[in-house]
Amino acid sequence: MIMEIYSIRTLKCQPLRLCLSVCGLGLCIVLMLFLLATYSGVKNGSMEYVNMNRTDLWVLQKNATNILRCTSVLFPQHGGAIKNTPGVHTASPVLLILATIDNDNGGATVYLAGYDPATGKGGPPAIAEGRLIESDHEIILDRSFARKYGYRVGGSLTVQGDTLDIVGISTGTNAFVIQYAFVTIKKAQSLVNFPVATFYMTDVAEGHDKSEVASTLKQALPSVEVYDHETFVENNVRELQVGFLPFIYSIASIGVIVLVVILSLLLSINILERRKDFAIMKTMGSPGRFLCRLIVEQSLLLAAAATAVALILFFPLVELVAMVSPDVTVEPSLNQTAAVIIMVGVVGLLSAFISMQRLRNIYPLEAFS
Amino acid sequence: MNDNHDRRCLVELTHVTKQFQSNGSRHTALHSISLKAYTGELLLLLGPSGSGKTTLLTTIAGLMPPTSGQVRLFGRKIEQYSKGELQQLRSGKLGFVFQTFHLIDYLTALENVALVLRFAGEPKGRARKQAGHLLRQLRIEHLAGKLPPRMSQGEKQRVAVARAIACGADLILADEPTASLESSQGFEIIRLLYRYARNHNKCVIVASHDQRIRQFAHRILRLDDGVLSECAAVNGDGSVRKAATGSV
Repeated sequence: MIMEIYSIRTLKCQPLRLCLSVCGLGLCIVLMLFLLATYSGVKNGSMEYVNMNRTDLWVLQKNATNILRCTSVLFPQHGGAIKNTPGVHTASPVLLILATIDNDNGGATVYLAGYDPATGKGGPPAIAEGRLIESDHEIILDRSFARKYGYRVGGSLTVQGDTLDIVGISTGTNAFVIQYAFVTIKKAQSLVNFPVATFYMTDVAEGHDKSEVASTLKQALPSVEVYDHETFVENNVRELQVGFLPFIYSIASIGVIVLVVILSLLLSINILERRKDFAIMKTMGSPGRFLCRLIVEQSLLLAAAATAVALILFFPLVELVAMVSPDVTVEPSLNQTAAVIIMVGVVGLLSAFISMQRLRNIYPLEAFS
Repeated sequence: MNDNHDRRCLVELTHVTKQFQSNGSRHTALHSISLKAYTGELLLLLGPSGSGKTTLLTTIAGLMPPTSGQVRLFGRKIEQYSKGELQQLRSGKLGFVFQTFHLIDYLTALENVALVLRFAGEPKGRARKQAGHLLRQLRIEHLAGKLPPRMSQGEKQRVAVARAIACGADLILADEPTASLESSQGFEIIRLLYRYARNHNKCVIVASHDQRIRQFAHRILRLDDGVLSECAAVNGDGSVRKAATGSV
């Protein structure tokens, strides 16, 4: 208890330094929480479309593995062949294209998904406002996209010269750098002037085995890839991770390094300033573990205070980001918060260990100088 | 305190020399010092500043190895103690009193005393209880909750003495304990150390240049430029009873 008291009092003796340090550490932690929450937002935004649009088999062009970073073009004859394959119940075409919506800012790009409103396959995962499309001159916009550019249900917009009525606002369709919009397959095909599709969402007829139908499709159509739903979701997640996680990890690693450096520096300065105290304690026969524990306690106290500051700042910050920049979806989760808290604890221990090296160079003899 | 043969020898130095090297030149701080210190006595090392008193104390404490000669502490050669054993020795059997007190400023008097008890392995609650008991014994219980910066010099040194004797140390090494104090406060501190040595059969070695405290010493050793040149035994009234030079 005495060492705990010493830890707290020595930290409190420089209140301004303590506040600045804790805030600095706290902001580092906020950065990490924010990065992880952004990753969640991107992952959910990018994956929800695939996740929620359940189908037995996804049929794409040969060698295409996902819809995020692959080219897949299937022609009407592919569609006909898929539909005629034994065991196939339905095959709904979906065309994904990048389209520019004309506006006063020189245009905004959306990931336009053309789907068959009759089956609903390939449509928005959830509608927050309005309704699903029913005709070729209607469009559904992603909520963050609509907020950013001020579009509302009941309004209209122009895509490559065609005026479309906004009939709905979707959620789970913000893929960070781009947002989904939904039109009929016919409208999407008319925009590219080809009756093509990116993939066919294929359901297997009752009584047929999915894997057998997939094998039959592959044999009948050597120029396509067929995935069951779970594999296709995994493919997309992997693609997202490959493209996005290194960026997240790089910045998070820098954040961790900064955290370790600040904390180690702070503890080292504290040790040097209390050098005489440590020399006296060593003279009086303090066991090594006492002094080490003291440093660990100080480190964990600072880390805990910084985490508290970070948590206080983080959630209002998420709200602020949602208001200022609606296209950035930040989705904090309890698991991530727990992971960051554990990581901060590890950083605290690591920083304490680094700073402890300073103790070795403090000699009991210094108490006599 | 007149017969060394009845008492236990805690410290024995045999031809101890300590040299320091700086800027290529060699400085001898202690010249072939031989001395013994026993339980039940307050041994005064008198000498001016720079005479080697502190070097001698730190050598006795095992904090600084001698360049040559032998130091025996509690009957065992100092080099035979491992680092851990020396640390245990300092936490249990050795006590230190410094000129500038060296209390931990961020701990109260009670906590400063309890700290050394914790170092010696006492559990938290017992350490505090014992520290409180000791402060009461020394009649400084009113300082228990005070932080050192709010104490007078004399109060600080009394707490420092309490800290030094808290674990029942057999050997107290006091480096200029009265130098920062007024006469009356200095006498009070020396009286405390004297009583500790006499009543508890402990050994107290005081290094000082303060001639006024001679009357409290059982023996006086004079140190000049690292040479132990004089030895005197003191009567109860403070008068010198016996004087010698060389090995003491």
